[in-house]
Amino acid sequence: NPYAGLVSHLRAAWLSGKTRPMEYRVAQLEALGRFLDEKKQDILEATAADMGKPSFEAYFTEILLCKNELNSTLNNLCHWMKDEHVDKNLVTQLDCAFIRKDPYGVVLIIAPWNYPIHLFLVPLIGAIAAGNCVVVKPSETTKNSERLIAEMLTCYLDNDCFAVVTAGVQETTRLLENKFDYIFFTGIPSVGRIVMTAAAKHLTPVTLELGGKNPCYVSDTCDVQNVARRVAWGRFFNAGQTCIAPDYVLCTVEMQEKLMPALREAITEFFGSNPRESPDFGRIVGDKQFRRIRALLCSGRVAIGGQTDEKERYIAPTVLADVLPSDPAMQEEIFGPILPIVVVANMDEAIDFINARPRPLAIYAFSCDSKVVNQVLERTSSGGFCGNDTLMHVTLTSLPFGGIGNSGLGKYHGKFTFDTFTHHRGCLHRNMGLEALNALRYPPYSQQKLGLLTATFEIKRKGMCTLL
Amino acid sequence: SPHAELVSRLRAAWLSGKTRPMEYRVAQLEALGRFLDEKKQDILEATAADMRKPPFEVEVSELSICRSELNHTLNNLGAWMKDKHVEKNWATQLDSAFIRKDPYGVVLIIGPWNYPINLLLVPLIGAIAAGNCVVMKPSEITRNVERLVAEMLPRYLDEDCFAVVTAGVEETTRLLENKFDYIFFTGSPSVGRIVMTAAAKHLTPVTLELGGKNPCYVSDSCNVQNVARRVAWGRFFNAGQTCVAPDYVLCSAEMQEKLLPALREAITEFYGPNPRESPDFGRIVGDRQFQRVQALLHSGHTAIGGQTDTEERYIAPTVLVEVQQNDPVMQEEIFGPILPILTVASVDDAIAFINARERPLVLYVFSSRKEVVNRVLERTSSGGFCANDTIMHMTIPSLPFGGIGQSGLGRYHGRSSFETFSHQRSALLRGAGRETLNTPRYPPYAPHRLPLLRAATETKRRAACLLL
Repeated sequence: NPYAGLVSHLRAAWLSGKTRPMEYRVAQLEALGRFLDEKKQDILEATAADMGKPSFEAYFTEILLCKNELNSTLNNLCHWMKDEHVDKNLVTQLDCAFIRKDPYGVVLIIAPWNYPIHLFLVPLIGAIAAGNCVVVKPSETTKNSERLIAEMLTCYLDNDCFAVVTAGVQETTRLLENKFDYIFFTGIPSVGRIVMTAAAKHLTPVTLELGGKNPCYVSDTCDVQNVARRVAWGRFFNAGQTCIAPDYVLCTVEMQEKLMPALREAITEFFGSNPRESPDFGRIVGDKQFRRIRALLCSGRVAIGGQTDEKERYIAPTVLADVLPSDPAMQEEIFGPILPIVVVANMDEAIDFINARPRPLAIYAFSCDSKVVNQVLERTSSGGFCGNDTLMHVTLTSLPFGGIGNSGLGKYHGKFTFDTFTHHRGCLHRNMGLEALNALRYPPYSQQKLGLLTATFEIKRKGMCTLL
Repeated sequence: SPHAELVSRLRAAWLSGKTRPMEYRVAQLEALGRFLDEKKQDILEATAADMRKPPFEVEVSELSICRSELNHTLNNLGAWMKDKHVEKNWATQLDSAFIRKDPYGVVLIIGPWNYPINLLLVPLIGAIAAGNCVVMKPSEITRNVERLVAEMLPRYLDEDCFAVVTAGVEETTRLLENKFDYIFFTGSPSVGRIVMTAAAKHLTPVTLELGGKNPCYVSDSCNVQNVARRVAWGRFFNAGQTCVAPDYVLCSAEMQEKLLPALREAITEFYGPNPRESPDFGRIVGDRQFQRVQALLHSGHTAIGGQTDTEERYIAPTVLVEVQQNDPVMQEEIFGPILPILTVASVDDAIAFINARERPLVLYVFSSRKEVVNRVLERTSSGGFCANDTIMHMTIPSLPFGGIGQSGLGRYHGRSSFETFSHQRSALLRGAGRETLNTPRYPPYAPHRLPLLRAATETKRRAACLLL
């Protein structure tokens, strides 16, 4: 087991108590902030080299959003770390009852390639804040980012408690044989199953941030041009390689007619008449992924775009019309710059369509009628939901980010990351004396004792709650 | 799969939205309350027949606890169900951002035999409160309670949405092949692994309430008689078959000298000179378990008790001394009325002993000195913690109850139950207009727009927090 030494070294560091003081955690988090500031240029260059990421996009998602999470955590850490005192019953009135926030121990974070900095750094922030030691496994697919993380991170963080492991599929499998105290995985559902099965051997809790096909319902009452811009932005950002991108549109045939020219206009507005020449449009990360996405083009009919260039791994911003549920583009998460439109008769049919499929990471609904948006929200189930926009719900650190069913389990961002990596330990500190309070519970048992005893801890029903 | 139809029927009921309204959930919970009231006598008889549970113990640990959880839930359900509005950034100031509490769908609850009503019903309360449909699998070991639950509970709950399945090991394995949306399991760690591995195939989130050896450190500064009573009560309640019972004592040789006569006195006070004749002392649930526990007696030296009767499955309240780490009684969770005492030189030795072992469900410390209590709390890790008493932390619904490492994952009781069975769905509802707010983010990207975009979405670092 090539990693046994590393894991036990980190576990010893955790047991030593080194990561417990707030000052230690703050120092590590501030070091992460310096990494983002000082290595900003390296991050922009690595992500550009790996997948042609426009620097504006890289700055926003890989640096700015991470700094938000860092600041939110540093602003609130001492508050989050505090013991939380709770309501007591009659018999424990004089005692101290509280929730202690304990670290889990040694955490493993496995990150994907699409936002290679953000998707390891944001979980790492929470894991450090909660007092854990961490092994980070960046994606081997984005080689430049992987190298940057492996070389640089160890210069900023305490090597006793934090380590980066570079590993392909086989070594990652060996890594997962070790006992971790928490595993945080971002990636595809099939690998999520493998991770959870490995975790089950050690009864290790997991958070799995997976994916799926995020439906985007566009009702007949909407501002078509705004919808087109917001959907195109979400779909083509990072050349479509975003777990929460709108994956496919559901709308009536009339709305499809109106959307098409509006989408054409938005794409031209964004990327010019030849998106291949735009510095603001990314590329597919690798040849394997490029070929997979290209094959999805044989679905419905290409209404916009459709051009590809294998050498550049370029796929034009593409919209497919009249796509059928049996088409290739509807069989898997697209994860590329292709937007299929599937025609439905009305909102109810759209909801049924969504509910007949695995639950997605996000559901989008566009309508000027808030009742429509609320109907979709109420009658479906998804990780998260955004009305009248795409992607924006994940820019709020106060909203939990996570999937349900095939799209994942667990949640993070902001305080939710801290809570994910914290064991909420229920504590009761009673008095050594005051034994008379306990007399009722001891044998020999009697009926009289019973009545009095239950009165000391049983909770009574209050008047009905009329406010909802 | 023999249960496939049942699961799909319950899933259809959930999709129909039947369990969503608060009134529906309240009606089911109130029906559960009526089950506890109207079937109280049947419950007392069934638990007496299954394992000679003293009725007082059933009232306190099965009925009253359930009523408390029920009332606590009914008192707070309206507040828990409400959308939780969250802090927004500049870009989303005019929007609605909140967390919607969605049910998972179809939940499976597998109950153990030691508190067959409590450990099935308390999770059920949370699952119903959160709007789920539920399949319950009571333990096949406590046959009378299993039959009672299978026959009586469906008469109180809506059969469209709630079902009881009776199954042995093989059928439970088949049951686990189905896709559930949440699995709540209480039992041993080895079966916990099997459950989590089965859940991983469907990416089903789980809560595992498992077990382990709960250490009980008794410092030299304590009221020995109080300690003896509180420890004896926790150990011998339900004839030791309690996941949070103190499993073994760690103390100095001097304290052991004082503790033994005090324990002898407490046991006599509780059960008389011949506990076998006391109506207040239970029996081991089955022959297999009896043989397992009896074999543990070959450890150290029997200082108190040690008598057994195979026919009655009686094991006397027993205290063992001179116990070594490699004795049988220290190799597994005892789950019977045997209390081994191991001597340690100091509190730090006790802490090292505890930390060298699997993390337990609960850790007990007895000391009049606050520093000792805090030292143990800070330098160990466990599911829960209780100072100067045993078991009592379980009577406070607002304390989360769950394990860590081998003793489990997830938590419940009170609001934690509701949250366990709820998916916290982030929702952002934006306006269909106000497009100018979005223009800074669209391509063509302009570096001069970055500061604006940053200001709209950033979280700034505030001054350091002085208060901890």
